Amino acid sequence: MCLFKLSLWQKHHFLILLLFAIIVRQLPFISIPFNWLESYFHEISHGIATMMTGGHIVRIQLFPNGAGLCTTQGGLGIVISFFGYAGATFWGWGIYRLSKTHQRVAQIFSGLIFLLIICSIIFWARDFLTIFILSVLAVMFLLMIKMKQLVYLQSLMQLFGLLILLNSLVSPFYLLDGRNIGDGSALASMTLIPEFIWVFVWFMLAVVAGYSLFKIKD
Amino acid sequence: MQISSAQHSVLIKPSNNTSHLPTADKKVADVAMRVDVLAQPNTREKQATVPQSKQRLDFDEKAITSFKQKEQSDKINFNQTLMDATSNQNQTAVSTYQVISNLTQRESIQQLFGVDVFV
Repeated sequence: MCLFKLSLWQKHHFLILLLFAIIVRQLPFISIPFNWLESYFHEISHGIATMMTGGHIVRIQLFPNGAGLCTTQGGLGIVISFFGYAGATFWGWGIYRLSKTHQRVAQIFSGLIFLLIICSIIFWARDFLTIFILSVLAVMFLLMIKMKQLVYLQSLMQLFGLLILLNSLVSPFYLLDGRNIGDGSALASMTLIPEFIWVFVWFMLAVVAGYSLFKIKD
Repeated sequence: MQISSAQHSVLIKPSNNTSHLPTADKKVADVAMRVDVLAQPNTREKQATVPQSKQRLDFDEKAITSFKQKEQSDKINFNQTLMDATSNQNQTAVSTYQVISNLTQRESIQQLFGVDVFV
């Protein structure tokens, strides 16, 4: 019986975690830190794109409802705007993928994310609310690093990766509210390609990332 | 110059050039000039032939003072009315001007710092 359960877990590992991630996203209070997590990876992706294109981050702001702002100076506008949602997808995919390779890799990677969050608090968080949200995320990752059973850490990291991926699959659709605010609108004004095309591109990126994770063999 | 009347005497300092005077004083001065003309000695003879009821020029100091006060209060009221009468159109124009001014300021600050915000 136990062997059967184990094989079911191994066989449908991705689908079980995906179902669990969908359920967690629907839970009223439990889903909040995961929204912050996705929001953080979205904003830090803007920031990393800025630094990679020659600019620098001035400030990162996170809000309790899952919204976020990244104030930058310099860099390439198109790349920076595009890498908000695309970067979050990449983070979700990367966290899942790397955690799956080895338990130790999952531990090291969660340690690196913890360091990134600490750096974000020191260098880019300027207000109490953002510092609080980032501190909650830092504690989450710290607790994961401290886990003695690395198999749980591995599964939790994979769950985090899927939650970020799910969020980046759904959240681009919030841009289609007719208000011309956000990355889609910014890209549309820069490239003259309509906003819904960008939303579709981000959605497809997340679908492809999810599908590639589904196809990975254990 | 002193103008005598049956009831009161009014002291007026004549001046041909009344342009420097405030409106209320100017009107009083104009009245005084007219009184002055009427009070010329050569006209007194004419006045003698005119019946007493028409000849008499009565000045009431209280009336002049109240006239002056009324003029001044009218002036203040006029100013107040002007302030109150600022139309909605004017207010909209002023607020639009301020908004545009703020936008220009915002743009200049953004250009100065060159920051972008990504949501």
